[in-house]
Amino acid sequence: MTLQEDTRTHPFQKTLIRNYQAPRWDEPLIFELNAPGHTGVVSNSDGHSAITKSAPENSVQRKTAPNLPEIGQAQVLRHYLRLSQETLGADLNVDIGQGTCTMKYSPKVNEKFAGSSLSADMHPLQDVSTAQGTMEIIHNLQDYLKEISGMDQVSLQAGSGSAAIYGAVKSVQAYHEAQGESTQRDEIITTIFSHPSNAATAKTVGYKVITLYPDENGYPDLEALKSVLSERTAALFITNPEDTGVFNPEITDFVDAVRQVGGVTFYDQANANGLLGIARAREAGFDMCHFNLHKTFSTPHACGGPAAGALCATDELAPYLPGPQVVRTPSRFEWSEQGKYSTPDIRPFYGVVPNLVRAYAWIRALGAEGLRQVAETAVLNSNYLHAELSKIDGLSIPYASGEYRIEQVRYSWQELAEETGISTGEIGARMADYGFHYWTSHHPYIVPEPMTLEPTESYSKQELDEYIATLKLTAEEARQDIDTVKSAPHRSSIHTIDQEATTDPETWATSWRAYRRKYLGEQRSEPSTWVAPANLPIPQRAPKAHHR
Amino acid sequence: MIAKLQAETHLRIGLVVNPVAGIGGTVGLKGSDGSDIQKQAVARGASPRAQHQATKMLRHFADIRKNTFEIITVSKEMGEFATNNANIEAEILEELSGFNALSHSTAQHTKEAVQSLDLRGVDLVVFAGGDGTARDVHAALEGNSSRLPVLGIPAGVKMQSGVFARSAEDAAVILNDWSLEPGKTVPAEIADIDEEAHRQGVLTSQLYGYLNVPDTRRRLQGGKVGSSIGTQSLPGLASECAKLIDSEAMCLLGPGSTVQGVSEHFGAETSLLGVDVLHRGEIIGYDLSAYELHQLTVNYRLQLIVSPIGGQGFLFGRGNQQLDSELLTRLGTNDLLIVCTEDKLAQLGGGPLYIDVPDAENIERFTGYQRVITGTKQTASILVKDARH
Repeated sequence: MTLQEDTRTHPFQKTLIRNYQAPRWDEPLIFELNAPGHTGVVSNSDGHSAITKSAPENSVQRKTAPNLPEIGQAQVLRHYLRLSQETLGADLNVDIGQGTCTMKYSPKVNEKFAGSSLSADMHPLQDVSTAQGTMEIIHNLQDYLKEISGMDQVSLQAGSGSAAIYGAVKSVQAYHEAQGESTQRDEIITTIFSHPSNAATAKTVGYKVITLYPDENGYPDLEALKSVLSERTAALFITNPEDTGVFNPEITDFVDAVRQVGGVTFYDQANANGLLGIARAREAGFDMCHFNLHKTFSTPHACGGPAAGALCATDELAPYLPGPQVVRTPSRFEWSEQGKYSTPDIRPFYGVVPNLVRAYAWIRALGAEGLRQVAETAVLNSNYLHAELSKIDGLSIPYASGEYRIEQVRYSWQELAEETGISTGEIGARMADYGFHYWTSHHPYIVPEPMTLEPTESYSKQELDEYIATLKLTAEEARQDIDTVKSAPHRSSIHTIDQEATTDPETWATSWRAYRRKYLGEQRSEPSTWVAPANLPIPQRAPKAHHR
Repeated sequence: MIAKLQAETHLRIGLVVNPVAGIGGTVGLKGSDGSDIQKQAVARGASPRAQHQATKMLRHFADIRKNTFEIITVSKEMGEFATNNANIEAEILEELSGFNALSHSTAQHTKEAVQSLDLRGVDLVVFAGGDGTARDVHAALEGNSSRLPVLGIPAGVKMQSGVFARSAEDAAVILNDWSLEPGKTVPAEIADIDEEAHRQGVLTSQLYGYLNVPDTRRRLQGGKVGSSIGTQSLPGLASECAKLIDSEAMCLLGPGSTVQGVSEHFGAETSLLGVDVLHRGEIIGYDLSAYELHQLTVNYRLQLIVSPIGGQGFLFGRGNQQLDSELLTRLGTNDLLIVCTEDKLAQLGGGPLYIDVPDAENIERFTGYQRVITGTKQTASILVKDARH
């Protein structure tokens, strides 16, 4: 009898353990499926097409079709379904194991809104008079996010969470420049368990980064912060709760201390899922904050984008925000003028509008009470996992032992690793055999043998129970059937990959063009450039400083 | 890579089992050093763990190893029994056949075995034991120019050193991975704690030196062998130090592979375990004692580059006693440059770091939160404590 069969009938193990098997399709790249003449049809059900109705936009109509593969509709559907099966796609997987990423459900109805021609056919060079509906949505979303954060102004231009943080760093720089202090203030302080984009974007802009490490409570001592504050401090960029799920209860003291030396305080709320409707950046005294709309506000994570980041600021910092905002005038919605000190655009145009539409729809559907319920449910789910997983031998919960966290927890398999030699990465590989994705933590591992779970509000109790039962089983397998765990995964699409390939940019091909160049030996071709038509109005905005 | 996978790679492995390693752990004796302890352990019913671990590693290796390999080992408990248990034919070193392993401490046996294997030209030595065994292996290879790689199968009570695989099975996988690209090695710390003090409840560690271990980072991430120095961030540490070094000052370079790696980026060849002196871009003092350091630097501004050492994060007082209280007293507050890669800092849990310098009354300024250089334009604020309090 195998261990798996045994545990199925064990008294405490009533929950389903799946006899999962991932398919392996050896699916070609979609460009390789190109069959000239094959096509698919989607009827335009709502009968609108914003761009063709607004005549001035002829100048932005492309003259030739994009170089996309030609494939039949059924073949396209099969292609993406197969890829989804091979990669534990969003609609297949209970993604509790990707903690810190807030892998909640992205409601399908919001795809309908974002995909509607009223939204999808819009063009950023359209005259605003023809885009009032979209402008109203963006305007209202700005207002909702002001309410949620307590801040005074919101910029929705960023195409990702990290781009929003980059915009925040640039705003900090612009702010200090306006005070004549930008040369003197060259240090940004963050913590090791904060969102890594805080340190990364600060460095990208050119700041020196000072990292604070946690004490035994899981968050830095206030004295650690005070020891690095000076007239060189530009800002504090901090996440709370941090990636461990531990909430820093002294956060207002942190903010006060930084403000006392003239630094700006930025609250990374990439993931605000445990705090919606409960605590706001404003009341904690922060000058700025941001949200990843693909985390807290349910827009899809896609594959690294396009996403949307909302950057919020108090009136004091608002003049330095990047990108225009939508303002309401007596007659219509307009884009605001860029101020003297505004951060140059961090992205072309006005942000990733389809994601703004999705986030808007999500907030509208839930309302204020619903948002709070999201946070409460997410915390309840995390506490349930916490309580159940505490019963597993070999799993510990470093820092603030015995206390609950907010919406996620970084656990440690250190004891199991010492006992059996099984690492957290190997447990993750084994979890794939049961159809679960599993992540460890950012590097370097401060918590040894880490596992970070964030159940959000989206998963049912039955799904949480299945995840818990599978983790229990895997820990038991580590003791009783170590070879199976060591050599996992056995039932995934691919057993193991050479991880060096994921860290060597020379091997990456992130586009069909790059693939042809790197792997098929085709010559590098110059990217086609867009030539402005003669009748296009002259751009009024400052030159762009693109994030990427 | 594919071509290499298919190539016939013949691997010659030297195997040494310390039959009494780990014998004290199961009966709560905090180590197995000293023959009294070993006898006491046997009396308490302990059974040697190293045999079992070595057998496990060999079995797993034979399972996964597709190409040929050869084992050369020592008679009876020091390797022969393990290869027999794993059904692997091995060549036995005849010259050491007189060993009677269980009758007394095997430190000398281990050293002689490793030296014999080195002479036989093995590709690497795999040993089963703990920190004490690692120290014996290190002693055997000290001054050895071949830089013979080693890999530890964990079988001891304490394993502070960076030479151990996470488990016996992992050792097999590491060995197999490494055999595809032999030659790639990284230095790893050989550290040990004072067992007698540990039994009294005092934790003190000492850095004994470095051994080369297989560089298979992909597999070892997060493992103990991975605690060997990550070389990627050294240029960043070096460039930050370069900005702060006053070329007219006497810059002391502390021991350890981090500082040595940093120094290499200055073009300076330094001692691994000693304290050296950099002045106007040149090494003018190599592996000096406290007295020599004073003599050489007495009329100059002093600077010091140092990296935490050992399993417990000692900054001063372990492995660098040359940096005595008098030197530290002369050192200006801003002239202490602490360097540490983020990986190493993570293994120390982000601190605290410790200072244990006797008779030092003026070192308070180096305690409390200190800046640690962790990379290009990157520092951490880490708590440094006086270990005496």
